[in-house]
Amino acid sequence: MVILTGKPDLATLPLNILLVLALIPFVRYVIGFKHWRNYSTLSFALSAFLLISTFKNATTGIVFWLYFILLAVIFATMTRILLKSARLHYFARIALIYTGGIIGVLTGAVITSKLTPFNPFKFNFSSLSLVLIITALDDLTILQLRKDALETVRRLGTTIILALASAFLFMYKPWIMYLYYHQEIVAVIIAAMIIIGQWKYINLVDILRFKSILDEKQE
Amino acid sequence: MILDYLSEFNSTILGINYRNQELIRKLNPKPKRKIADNKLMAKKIFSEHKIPTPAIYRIIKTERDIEKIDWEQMPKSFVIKPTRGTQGKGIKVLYGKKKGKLAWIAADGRVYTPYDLSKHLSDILTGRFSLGHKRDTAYIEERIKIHPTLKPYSYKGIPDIRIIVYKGIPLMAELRLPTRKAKGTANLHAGGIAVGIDMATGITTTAIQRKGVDFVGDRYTILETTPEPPHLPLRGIQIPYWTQVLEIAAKIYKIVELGYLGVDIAIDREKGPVLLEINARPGLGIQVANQAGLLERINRVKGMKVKTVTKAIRIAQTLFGGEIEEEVEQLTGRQIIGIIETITVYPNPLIKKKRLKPEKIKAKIDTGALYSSLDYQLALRLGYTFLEQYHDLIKTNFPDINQAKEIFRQLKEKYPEDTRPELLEHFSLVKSGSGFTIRPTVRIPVKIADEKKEILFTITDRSSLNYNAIIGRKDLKGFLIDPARIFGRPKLKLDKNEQN
Repeated sequence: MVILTGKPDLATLPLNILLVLALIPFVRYVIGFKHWRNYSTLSFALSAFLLISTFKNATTGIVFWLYFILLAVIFATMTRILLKSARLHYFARIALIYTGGIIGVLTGAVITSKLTPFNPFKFNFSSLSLVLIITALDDLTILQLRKDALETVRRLGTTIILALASAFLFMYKPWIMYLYYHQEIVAVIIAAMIIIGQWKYINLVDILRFKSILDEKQE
Repeated sequence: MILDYLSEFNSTILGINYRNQELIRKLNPKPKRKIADNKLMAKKIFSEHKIPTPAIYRIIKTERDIEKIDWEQMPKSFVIKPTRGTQGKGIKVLYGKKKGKLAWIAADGRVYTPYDLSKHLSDILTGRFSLGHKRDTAYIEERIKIHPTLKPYSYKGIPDIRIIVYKGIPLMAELRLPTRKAKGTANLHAGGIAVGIDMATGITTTAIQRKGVDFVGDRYTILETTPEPPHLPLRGIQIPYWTQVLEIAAKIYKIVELGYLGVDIAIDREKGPVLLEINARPGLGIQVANQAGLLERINRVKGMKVKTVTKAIRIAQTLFGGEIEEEVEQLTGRQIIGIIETITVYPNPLIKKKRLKPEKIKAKIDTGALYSSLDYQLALRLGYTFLEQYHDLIKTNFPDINQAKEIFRQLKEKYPEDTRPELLEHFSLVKSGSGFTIRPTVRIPVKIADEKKEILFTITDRSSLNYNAIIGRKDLKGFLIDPARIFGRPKLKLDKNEQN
């Protein structure tokens, strides 16, 4: 089996985290997609890894992971809408939106345990996965208050895709084996981080965004 | 081909990475950025330099300051702003008072009581809208009264002009119009309209509005008219006080020493151009409104040292005006050229030598001359070496017309048509200020503006003159001459001897 499931393999996790940390700026600066911040993306990746690894079937794991994220986002957003007319100070508002998200996750966990054989609270890794989702809500609440709904959804989408891709890397057996025996790849990852850090060329999103200008000029 | 496309992209369009790494990081040092990030500090500095800015009514630093506000004494209209806000967040424009009530109406139609405004001020103080969510200061300033030229195009809010300035040279500008969709703001992301502006004339060109969004980003549509009735055309609006607007933008560089910045200016109907704020991290969407790349413009002015504001404006208008010219070209079918124009003269097509390359020269566009003329030495360099046999002829000035006519007749007998070099059409007897000359007339390919054509040039010694070539009336069909379009005046006196 190419993807390791059943139990998360933690041996290569620290090195894999480095790779995700390099992927985040790559997606941001070379491709041009905006996402939530480093901690949120990493946290989602780890939560995906822990939850999906709990299940024998990766698809089931993904479905549950997305389910908990959506519940957290929906409850946090509903809380924000309810609080719109309430005259609250800024940080108190963030705290309440956060609380809404936590209630969403816990509600989802209770429903899941009642309706399905899966009880997230029974397994340490799945419980930890939910905790990681909850801690990532900080970014969501700030984004909701500072950017518009479309931007929030766009960044959430990119974060989810990046997190999922990272989670699969954590579970991809050939990659894990390679990393276990070739830890010197860390030097390559660090070099990549430095190169990406100095990237000054146009990114993919900019090409799509400004393509019309160049096409007009060439015509 | 993909590599060529990417290469052209990289040299034309300013992307976010280049902006951050090469412009903001290198040209906008952190201590100077702090001035741009602090609107109050910036206003104080600009006032000291006599740059007009909206008057400040009140500064609020603490909760206690909010309690001290006597709302009944506040004017009918005013604006609340955070000192360190970004992207227009936290700005409340209140444009009128609710009748019979102590409440103000905002551009989005909402009514704000003193309690609502106090809460908003409190939010500003706690850092809700500031960079890094740090504790902030709020201030209340006068509301700009919209200039009557721009008022019909604006829905409730205040239109402003954003100019991108690179080392003191204004590069690109856009007019930002508030709309109903954007709830009375000019915020492009919310549905405001951005209209490109021709740098030379201050006339608007292409208008864009966000039409939707996908995973990649905002999508824009080109608008011809305002979305609200009476659907006025957005192209062709003359920005009032355009030169003063450019002056203010160009002056800012010397004051704050930010090498790459966005300058936001509004036009008040009484005061004229008023500086709203400056931005040390201006966005890139202005390129879409102007349908032109910022990086291309930056590359054109890189290395230029501009000592005065007047020179900076002239550079901007000369190099980056032209959108309107293109429209005239499209309407008339004629290209617009100036009275001094850079042309490309091509080498002798009959000689296949790799070392012969086309030469770019400045030519005088002389509507007073009938025929075109080219310098003898230049022609030799370009491979028209058959002219060497006429060297003495070219160098000779005949003071007497009869003598010239006799020589001319002898030439025609000596060099009948079928013995002449292929490119030599005939000889011309030309009257000039210093007498009469007999000039070989040669067909030479040139490129003027975008048009490549063959011109009959009379070859003469122009080594003592300012320009290696003049283009006469016969060869100017298809062009419109704009006397204002001069790419650089020569320091020497213009030659007065040119007559054909």
